[in-house]
Amino acid sequence: MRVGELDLEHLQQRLASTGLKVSMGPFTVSIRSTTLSGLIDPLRYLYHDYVICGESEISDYHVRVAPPSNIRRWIHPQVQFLMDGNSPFRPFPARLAFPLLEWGINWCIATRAHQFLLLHAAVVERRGRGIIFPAWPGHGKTTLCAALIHRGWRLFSDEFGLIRPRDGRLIPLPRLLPLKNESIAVIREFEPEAVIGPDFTKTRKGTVAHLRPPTGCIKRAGETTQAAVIVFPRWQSDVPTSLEPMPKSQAFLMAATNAFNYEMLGETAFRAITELVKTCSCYRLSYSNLDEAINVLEQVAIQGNE
Amino acid sequence: MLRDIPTVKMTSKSTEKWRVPDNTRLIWVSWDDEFILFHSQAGKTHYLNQVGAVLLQELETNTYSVSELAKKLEKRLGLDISEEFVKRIESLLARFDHLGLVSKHSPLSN
Repeated sequence: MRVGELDLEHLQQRLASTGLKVSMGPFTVSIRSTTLSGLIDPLRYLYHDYVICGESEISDYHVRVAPPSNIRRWIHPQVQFLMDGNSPFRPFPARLAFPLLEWGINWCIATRAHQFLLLHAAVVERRGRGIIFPAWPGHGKTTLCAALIHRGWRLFSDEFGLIRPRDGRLIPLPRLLPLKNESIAVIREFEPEAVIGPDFTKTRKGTVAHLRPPTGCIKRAGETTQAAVIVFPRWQSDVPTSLEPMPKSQAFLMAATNAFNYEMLGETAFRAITELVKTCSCYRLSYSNLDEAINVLEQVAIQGNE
Repeated sequence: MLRDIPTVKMTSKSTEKWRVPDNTRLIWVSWDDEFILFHSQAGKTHYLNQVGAVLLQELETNTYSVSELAKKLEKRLGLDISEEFVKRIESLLARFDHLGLVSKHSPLSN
């Protein structure tokens, strides 16, 4: 059963009682919440295609979004994110309950999922080849990824490049894509059919709106692939599109410094990134035009299959 | 450039012997003339150029003084050895020592 098949009453019941267990790639997340319209409406809309796990399924993360128990619930209502009953963040305004849930789940993965090497990267698949886009904030990773998945590329993840150390396979984690500020309008114009939730203004990252991945990407969340290309993207205004090969040693260092848990995994991470860089073609992409960037990346995907 | 190692003034530094400690495990990967090294005990990754890498690889296999290392580098990399270059080796060794990659070797420890 998928979240979209659950009527509002039952969805509220689950959130308020045992929790809504949602399958997100390799993780099962149990979400609990009191009745917060700012959370339930976008959750119902944006999680529409995600699979609800059975009651007996073991959850990787037990999360809860609820008002803090203080007087602020009456004056300027707030919500807090809790994992296993502990709150790692300060409370947010209640109207930001949904983005808080999304950031909170990402936080759980970034700080707990050390069975994987976690690159801070978008990952997509084209023609059976995994393409990793490690990037720093502001380099246009999410916008590029959002555009690619609406041109037939399969989403693995927008935020976490999950690599299984024992065999180097890329693991899909097709979560919502948090579009920010100008990129919301850019993607609305680029793909008018894109399923985008409400604008949440005045967050710590400006305005955020979440993009639901195409249904096929969520359905294929169990299909892993092998990485073939690493592209370090950088969006800059008014630059010609260019894709240049990158020295492997540089690609190694950039991938390692960009990983969430490189130091924690130590030798395991070193060996995983070594294999990754050895087997992948490495490039640096500068772009300002999404269509041009996609055309250039199509060539990379085609070349590998020739 | 001075090619003649013995003309380099012998100091206590140049007679000291260095090596990679026995319990240190280094994992190497290289592309072209660039080397990346994982130091298992410290859990640290280091990026090295060819001179640094060759120097460390020599010290993984044996114990050498600065002047002996200079000769090794001259032979392996075809470098002209100058007084300035010897100072660079000393500086590299001090850095590697700080990172726990090499240590001074006392003959008494044999």
